[in-house]
Amino acid sequence: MKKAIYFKKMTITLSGAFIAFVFLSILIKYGIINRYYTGILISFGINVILAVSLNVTTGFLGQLTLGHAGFMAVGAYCAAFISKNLVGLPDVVCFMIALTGGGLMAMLIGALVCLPTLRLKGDYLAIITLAFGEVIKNILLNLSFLGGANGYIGIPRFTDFGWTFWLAVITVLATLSLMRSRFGRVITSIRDDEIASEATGIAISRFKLLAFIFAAFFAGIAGGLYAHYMSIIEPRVFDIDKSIEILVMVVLGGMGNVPGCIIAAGVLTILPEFLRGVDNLRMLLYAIALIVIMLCKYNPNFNRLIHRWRNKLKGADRT
Amino acid sequence: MKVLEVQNLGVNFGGLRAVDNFSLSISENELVGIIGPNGAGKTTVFNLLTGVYKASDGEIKVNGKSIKNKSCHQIINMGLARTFQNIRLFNDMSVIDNIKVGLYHRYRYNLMTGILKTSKYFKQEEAINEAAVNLMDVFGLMPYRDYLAANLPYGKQRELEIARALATKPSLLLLDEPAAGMNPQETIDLMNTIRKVKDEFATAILLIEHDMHLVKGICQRVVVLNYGQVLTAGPTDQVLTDSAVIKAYLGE
Repeated sequence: MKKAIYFKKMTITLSGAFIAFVFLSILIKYGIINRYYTGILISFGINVILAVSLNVTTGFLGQLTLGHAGFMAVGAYCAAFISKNLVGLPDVVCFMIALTGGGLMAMLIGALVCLPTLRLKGDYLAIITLAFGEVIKNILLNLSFLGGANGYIGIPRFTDFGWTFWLAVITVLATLSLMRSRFGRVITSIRDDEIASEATGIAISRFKLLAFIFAAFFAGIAGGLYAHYMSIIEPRVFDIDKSIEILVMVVLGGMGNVPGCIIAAGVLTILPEFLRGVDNLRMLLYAIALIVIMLCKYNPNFNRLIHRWRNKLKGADRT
Repeated sequence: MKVLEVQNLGVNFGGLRAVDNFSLSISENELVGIIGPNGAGKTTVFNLLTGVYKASDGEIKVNGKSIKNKSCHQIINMGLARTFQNIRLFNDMSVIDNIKVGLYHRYRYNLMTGILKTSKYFKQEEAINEAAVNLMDVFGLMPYRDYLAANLPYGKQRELEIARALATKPSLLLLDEPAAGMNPQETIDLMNTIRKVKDEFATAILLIEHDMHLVKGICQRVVVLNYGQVLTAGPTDQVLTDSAVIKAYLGE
């Protein structure tokens, strides 16, 4: 891509994000979006970070991982620990250090999980990462200085809409940027054919590691945001259900499709909230909605319809 | 200088001696063929050369350096490149991106440059793009630039695979049955492509092939393998009329 085009696109994207941010902030400030909906917006942002980062390993690298919530847990506890013990600093600085620390810790753990599993793929890797998530959960359950099963309480409430919004934007941009570099191309080539990739002179284990720690870093950040939003975290939250939830967002949004992931994260955050009205049918309707969405997504007739609408919209633009 | 020197190469798979006492040396810009009946160990030789299998005994030198204890991608970076019998492309990537993966080691910038998109990124990406376009021009792949590799016609997929291998600037290119599954016209096109590759890129080529027209047409030397051993080796015309070779192929 030419430099000028890139900067033009980037300016448009960033100003779009900024306008959206100002607009939403004003709505929140004057109470048009109440606290409940602000909460949904924040979980949406956190889910975007999680889904987009998981997309790097599962979508682009093509390795099915079921332990993403584990990295999130590491990030959450580490960030919470830092911000609780780091007193006397301004909130913003303290939160920044906590988030970075959480991200780096998750990255380190990500590398530790990744190194022995580099040779594995497919089902085997999925099982290892699944086990990893459970291991993290159980370690946290038994660490009394982190609250154990009672939960880690009294975490300062630093997370607000602004933090979540901009960190989600940074995650999306960093991911897109990585995937459009020479490193991104190599990561995608590993998904398509590992043997051919190695025969092209690529040290595939290095890039698997890169993708893993990149994803783990952002999952850790998302965990930090979550911890400082809830102000109490329990190990139980970061179980296999959470990992699957993130994975569903990636599958729904499309493997290796970042905008799709954002939309899917939005749908899957809002849907359960809207279904609160039908209390005990909630999970059932959620499941049915998922099935319907999946069927529609891969239905040729439905796709044709979407294409026709898109072409119509484009046609309207031109005239 | 020799680009490839193989001495007394051998490999055992359990009790099976798949390759035995195989020696071969290839000079710069030479075109050598390996032929032999199915199961003779031709692809095994390729896999030994590229480090997919480890040799039980013997020595392999690429550009004068031994490949002992080197992993597959390290050997490739010493100046080898290969294609596969059943085409292996990055199917969900565009044609140009397939080639760009091959260019990975030739145009560098670090990770942070890649993510933050400094001006070095744009400079290097431009160079990558130019190199990829040049390669595509040679193989007539320009009209397919943004096609997914999986959607290319068969002959073009072969050429893309060769182009991707050449992107690493190898001094020796290994082609594993390039004409497999091609019709006569496609084979003739392929022969021209291989000749062009040899002349324009100044690489040596070692190819495995069953199509005798192709072997006769382009190979300067031929090595015949049978049951893992070299049956004969020498100039193409001489080898293809050898009675032992005919016997190995057609029986008595």
